[in-house]
Amino acid sequence: MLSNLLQRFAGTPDEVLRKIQMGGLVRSARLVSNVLGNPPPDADEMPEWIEEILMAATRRICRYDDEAMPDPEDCGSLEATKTFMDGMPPQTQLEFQSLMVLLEVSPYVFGPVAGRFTQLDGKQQDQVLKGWETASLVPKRTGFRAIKSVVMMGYWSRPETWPAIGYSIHDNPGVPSPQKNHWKQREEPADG
Amino acid sequence: MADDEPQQLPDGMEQVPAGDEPVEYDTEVVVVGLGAGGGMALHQLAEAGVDVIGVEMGGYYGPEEMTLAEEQMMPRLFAEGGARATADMAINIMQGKGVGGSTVHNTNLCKRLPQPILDRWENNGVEGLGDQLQDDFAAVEQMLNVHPIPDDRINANNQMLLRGIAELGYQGGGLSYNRRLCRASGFCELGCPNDGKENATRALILPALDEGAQVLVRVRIDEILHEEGRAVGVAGVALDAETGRARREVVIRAESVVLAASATGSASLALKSGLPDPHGLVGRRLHIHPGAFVMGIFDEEIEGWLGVPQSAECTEFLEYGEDADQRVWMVTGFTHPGTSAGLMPGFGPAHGAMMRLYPNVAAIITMLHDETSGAVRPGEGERLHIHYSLQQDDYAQMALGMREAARILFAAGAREVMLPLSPPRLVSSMSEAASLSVGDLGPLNPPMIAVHPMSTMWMGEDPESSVVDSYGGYHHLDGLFVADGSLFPSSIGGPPQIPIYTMGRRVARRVVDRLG
Repeated sequence: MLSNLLQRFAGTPDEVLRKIQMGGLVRSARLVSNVLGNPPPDADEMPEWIEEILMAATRRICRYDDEAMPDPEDCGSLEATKTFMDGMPPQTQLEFQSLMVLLEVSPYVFGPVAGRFTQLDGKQQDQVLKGWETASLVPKRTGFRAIKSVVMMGYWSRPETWPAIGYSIHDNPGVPSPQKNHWKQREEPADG
Repeated sequence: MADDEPQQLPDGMEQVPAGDEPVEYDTEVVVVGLGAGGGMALHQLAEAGVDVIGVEMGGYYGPEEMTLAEEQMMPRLFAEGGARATADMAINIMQGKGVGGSTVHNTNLCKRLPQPILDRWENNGVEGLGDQLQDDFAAVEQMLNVHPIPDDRINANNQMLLRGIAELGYQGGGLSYNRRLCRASGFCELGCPNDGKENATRALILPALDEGAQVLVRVRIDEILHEEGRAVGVAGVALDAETGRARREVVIRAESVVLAASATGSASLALKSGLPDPHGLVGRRLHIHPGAFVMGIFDEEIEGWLGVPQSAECTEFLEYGEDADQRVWMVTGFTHPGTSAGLMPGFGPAHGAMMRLYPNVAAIITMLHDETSGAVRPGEGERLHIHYSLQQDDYAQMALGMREAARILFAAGAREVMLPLSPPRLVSSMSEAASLSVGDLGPLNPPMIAVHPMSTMWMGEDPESSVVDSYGGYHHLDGLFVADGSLFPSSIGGPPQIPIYTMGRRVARRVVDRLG
């Protein structure tokens, strides 16, 4: 199996992760991008292939099997995620994109099967994410936390998701009229 | 909505236009950072007739520009777009950015420094902590309209806390805040759309402009200029509002520099500037009041996003002395869906099921009056390196706080409590929660958030063991003053805004005296 071969040459998964940390997240991601023949992380504009990784992760993290909770693609989740990220310093954006690159290739090292994250089936992607979420290594857990925070901000800041949890801005009696009217327009399609 | 329109700045406030040549200003005093301390210093200096320029890295947002959209307001109002964290990423540091600093997005809790903290500081060589300081507290409270939070403003989440502590006979009760036009929208932490807060912007900075102060927004100061043992100004870059990238050099020459860029920003700037620091103290002793959210699930609807977010506290486990056995401050906490979803455990369908319970969740933040000392080092641009690893004693305090928060939630009627461990532990009885021990905790376990950085340029009269004197004057550079939470010689175990405002007033008075 490819992961066994990788271990022989690069060390155990924990050792690989430490080396990646030592080498620097962004440098590692640039290297991986080159190996894959893809453009590296770019703070000015997220390369399309990294957007696809982010969207793939979003689909699994926000896969709720609940009719009241819309599909992330239908509610503009990715656009909101990008708006949120645009306000971060360029270096932070680069690091986040680098994290996505490492998520893409992490199955080669950590399993469950050797392959790119975006090419795994949903169940396998969930296994990868669970592995990051519950890892004994703090850097993997912090990586998951960062991805989850950004993805959740993108999804749950969309008014289309709010009816499922009883949240509304335009129904809030303390919100002044201009903002209330603005949010009424945004929330109404979801209400209907 | 206003976010699509060109921004109108108040008279006296300007954004430096792009250009190839550096732009230069001359003034008597430059204030770097316009949060509680800097806002107060700017106001007091302007009122005293001093020629003063305030510089702020972030933008200015009036109430009509508070869009209430989390994904927009978080990056606008928080340092590093809300992504600031300790170097190991284990603790999120939520700090303000922009005119008004953290006072624009805080929950306006107001407390004076408790006497045991003042005693501790006095024992550590700080002078002038008696009647004059109490007079300054009183003056600040009057300026900011500080008053007890009315009973009809205590929302269901806070009523839960009061109910729980009453049931258990624990110490605590209602708090005070500084609001005037509040309509209880619950959007304090994303910027009040009603201009309901008497924050630094409304109460101090805009009035300072009327008194003749000048404010430069979106200017990042990268260096404190100093020559022959005295501060002579600051230098930095004007930032593009859209991209955040540098677009022009800015130099401000001044007789005095007031550093008020927060306990992380001020220390980082001092280190980056190569200020004399013969004992290597600057940037050390960082305290942050790390906190964790413990959530209770109730049968009744709490709807914690509605109303004043924080109005009650539990002080049963909060002692202030140097050898305190218990150092946990508990207050309620609540966030809007985008942030809450990140705090809820898991992902996928299990997470969705937890989100369905959002209206029925009440939350307590268990916050440490920390003895752990961290350190701040400069980073690139807005970014900093914040090194802070919780020491074992503080983990024990966190375990105590999480157990007691669970006890309060159960006493208030919660049917289940979520202990924010990794993986999260959902418990349905106090006996299950009581088994939580310090051995269960470690880095990122629980995930923590900190909103009160302090103590990186602490006061004292001894230049060998403190960074600034008792009135903020830097020991080793004439004309440089510090006026923010950096000054605190220890953690304070409570909301820092009133102490910071008060120190800003005290430092400004010293600057005026020095100018003659």
